[in-house]
Amino acid sequence: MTRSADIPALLPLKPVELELLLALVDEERHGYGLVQRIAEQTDGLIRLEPGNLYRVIRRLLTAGLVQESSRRETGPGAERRRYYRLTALGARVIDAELARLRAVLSGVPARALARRLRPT
Amino acid sequence: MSDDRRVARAERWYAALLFLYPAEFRRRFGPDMRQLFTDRLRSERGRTGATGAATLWAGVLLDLLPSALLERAAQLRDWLMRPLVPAPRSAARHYSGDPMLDTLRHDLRYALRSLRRTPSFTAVAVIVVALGTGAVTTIFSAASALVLRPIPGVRDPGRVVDIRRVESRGRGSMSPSYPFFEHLRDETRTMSGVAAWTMMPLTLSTGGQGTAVSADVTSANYFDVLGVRPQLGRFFVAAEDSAPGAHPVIVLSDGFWRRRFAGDRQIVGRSVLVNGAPWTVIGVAPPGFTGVYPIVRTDAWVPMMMAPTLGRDPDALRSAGSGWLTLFGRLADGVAPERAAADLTRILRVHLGEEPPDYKDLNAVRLSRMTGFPADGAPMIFTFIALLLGVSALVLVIASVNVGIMLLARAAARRREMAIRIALGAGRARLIRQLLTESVVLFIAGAAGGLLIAFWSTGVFQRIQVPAEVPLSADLGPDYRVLVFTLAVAVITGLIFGLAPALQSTRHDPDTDLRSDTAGTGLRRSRLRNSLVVVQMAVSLLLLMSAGLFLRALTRGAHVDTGFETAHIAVAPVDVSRSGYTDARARVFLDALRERLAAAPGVTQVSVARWIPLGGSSAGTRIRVPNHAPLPGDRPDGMVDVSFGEVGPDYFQVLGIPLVNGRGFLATDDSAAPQVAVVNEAFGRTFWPGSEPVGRVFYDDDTPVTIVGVARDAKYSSLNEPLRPFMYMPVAQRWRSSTNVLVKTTGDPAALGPVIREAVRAIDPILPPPEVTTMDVATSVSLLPQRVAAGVTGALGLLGLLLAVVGLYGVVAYTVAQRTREIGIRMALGADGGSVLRLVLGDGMRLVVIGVVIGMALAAAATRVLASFLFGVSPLDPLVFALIPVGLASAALLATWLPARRAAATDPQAALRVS
Repeated sequence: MTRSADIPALLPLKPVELELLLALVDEERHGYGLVQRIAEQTDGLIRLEPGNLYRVIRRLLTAGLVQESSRRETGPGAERRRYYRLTALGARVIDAELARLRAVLSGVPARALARRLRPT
Repeated sequence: MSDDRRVARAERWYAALLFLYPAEFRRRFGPDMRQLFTDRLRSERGRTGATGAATLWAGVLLDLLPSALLERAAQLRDWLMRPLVPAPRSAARHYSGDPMLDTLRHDLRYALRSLRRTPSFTAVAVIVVALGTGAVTTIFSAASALVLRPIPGVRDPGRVVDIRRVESRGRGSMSPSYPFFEHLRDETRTMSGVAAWTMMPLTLSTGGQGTAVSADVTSANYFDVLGVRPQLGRFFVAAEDSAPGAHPVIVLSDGFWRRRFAGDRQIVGRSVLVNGAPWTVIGVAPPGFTGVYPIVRTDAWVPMMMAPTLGRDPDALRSAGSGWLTLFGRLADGVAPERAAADLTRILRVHLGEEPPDYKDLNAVRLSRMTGFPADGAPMIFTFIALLLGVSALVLVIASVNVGIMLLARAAARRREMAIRIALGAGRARLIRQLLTESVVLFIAGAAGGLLIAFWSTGVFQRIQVPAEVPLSADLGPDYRVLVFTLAVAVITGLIFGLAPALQSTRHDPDTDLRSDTAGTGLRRSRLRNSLVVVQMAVSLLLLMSAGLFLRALTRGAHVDTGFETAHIAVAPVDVSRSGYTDARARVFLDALRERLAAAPGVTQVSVARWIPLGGSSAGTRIRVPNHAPLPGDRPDGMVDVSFGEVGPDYFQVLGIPLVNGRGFLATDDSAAPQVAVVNEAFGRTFWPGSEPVGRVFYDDDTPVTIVGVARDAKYSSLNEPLRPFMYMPVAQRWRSSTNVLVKTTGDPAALGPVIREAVRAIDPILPPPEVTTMDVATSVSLLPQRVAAGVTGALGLLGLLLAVVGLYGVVAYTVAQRTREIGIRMALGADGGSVLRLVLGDGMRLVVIGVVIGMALAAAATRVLASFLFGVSPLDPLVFALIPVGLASAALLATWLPARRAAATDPQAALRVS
């Protein structure tokens, strides 16, 4: 079991990992649902192919950030479709990562960059 | 197809691809991934048709291949890096529970860590091993491609056999005739099929300028017996084997179809011009299949029955006395090759009476495995390849010895570490296994590098142009066999050369080793190291000596007096009958071409010759010389076998062959004139000793032939042939449309290529441009084995020398470092730099001298196997045996001198302070 003290060891998250975790914040989703949701969240910037998607899921499962859900739907192919949900640790990791990103945004380099790009 | 079925089929393919992933991953996510794939497929209905499917699958592969690879790598990493002592709860499910695997895992981790700690040692060792395995792998790769790889496209190749007609006693063999083939094909009960073929160059065109095509004429069952299926259209059917000239159909090879017709799928049924006549393309052979000699490029196949229309003597399909075919067959189910050979021999003997009487000794059929080479040339080729493989193995030995020495030095440095571990209770076997794992890892890493070298070097080999009568094309690159071979070599050499250092460094009394902290020079260890240096020197000497002998043979071969000149002569093979010319038109064409070329700037003389001396081919006939008493060894009936070449007017002037007496051929020696011949001096000496042959007459097939001239003796088919009677016949009296135009120039003959091609084009634009070469190149086939051998052994010899010298340098430098304290004491006691220099040099050179002596003894014993490739250069050639040891010793002296000089410069005070 990963303890909360390990959270810094899981950071920083890769962009794909963060997007996948974010996609699970509001509801449990299955594979194709995740692909669509992530494409939507990123304005089509990240379009996951299945092989890559499940590699990310495997990493997140191993790290204990997501879990398989017991939810099943009815309909064609439903018995094979697995749903994933965010764990409590996953939620805390998102929080920590977002905090880290916020720190980056308000950090000295970011402000210096803003000055540099400002029209003179 | 309905949409559902299309989706279901695509999903099945996708499921198959999922097997790329590790089993665990597949179990966990496989169904889910399939569902995702299906979901997406259903939602993106736009992707239909061929291009849609191609895009889809390209995307799927681009996704699955890398991610499966990464997943497997991750699995391997997890396996290596997971805790060695299982944590009580969480890791328990990871623990394999197999103590063997866990120890291996442990050893691998330890080895990787320990190699990473000494990056320069690891890098040097890996490079050295890579060079050694690279050499062996390159040669093995070429050998495997030429010898081991089954003929591409053939079904169950183990059941297909070469069929040869041989003497049951004696070593003679002959090419089978067409009637003989028919008997075997129709009467055998032990073969499921017997097929025949021979090579036949053609010209193919689609109206404009023709293309020279390397084709085979085959019996209709050729493809069936091989079990090859067409990728387009069909192959020949039995009806096409029945009437001469009735079925002008042609099958194209995949390569030719792609090159010449850009892979046009509408090709089947199209009409093309073959040797000027309309033929129909009926099929395309599968990719990779280029006939039963894979190294010969084959562009097309045509039915045997069409041979007469392509310039073969029409009698060839009827005459039992004309042998021109190559046969192979497929053994029937459950029949052993011996039984089949007996069956075919029986059939042969039934029909022996229908053949010319002198065939009666050729009364047996021999079956052998299909090797992809002509059956009579195969043993020579295999010997040659084995030789090169042996030479490259020597390089590997040198490289491995080198790394062995490095490992020994490393073992000495790690004696303390081992002693501590033994003191802490580690078993010796356990430590040895760990050290062996380390050396095997090192060798495998090196072998991976060697494989890269092999990929590169075989690529270089393939680009070398070989002067040969037939176009060669071979894929020499490494295949899975090479991979397995290299891996096996790496593991075996890693074990062998890791064993001694591992034994050494663990053979200690922990008590004394822990106390004595200077890296001592244990007597036994230095003896082992010294013997390794000796081995290295001996082997590299052997290698260099072989290279030296081949080089000598090459220079000797190049200086053999061939009796003719090759400089400033261009050779252009032409055969206009393949472009639909009749014989009469062909003669007119040749005259016109000769005239046109003679007028070209720089050209001094032009001639034609069907036969090129030392060009790799020869023809023979049986003549009767009146009043010639059979000599011992001659045939009892008084007939004599003589080789001959057909040449045209001015031939002797172009090649600079002096006429001792009489005249050369004239334009008037044509088919209407009485038959004439020019003979060599040996011919005269043999048949009319002591008197003049000019004006004498002999009989060829009962036709009287008058000798009009005597030419100086020369070499005819090989550089080391004994002098034999030889005769020249006029091309015009033995007319064949395929011939070579010889053009003598004052300048560079290679520059005549465009001139000759333009002259041909100017006379008739439909003719394919001849592939012009030079006489130097055309006659160089005779030195090809020596050239290859000298090149390969020379390159490998230099590599071996480099490795050996670097190894020697390493050992001496290492010893000097170890003896710093001893040298310091010596110098403190009054020894000067000179005596230290002599001491170190002496120690090093003693090993070199022992190695050189052993190497010379080895070479004296081993080079005898090369004798048949050496053109009479003695395997104990004094020049090689004197120069090369001296050369090697000088290189070794330099390698010892560098560290010796450093030792001599030792400051005694500093040296004593260090330890």
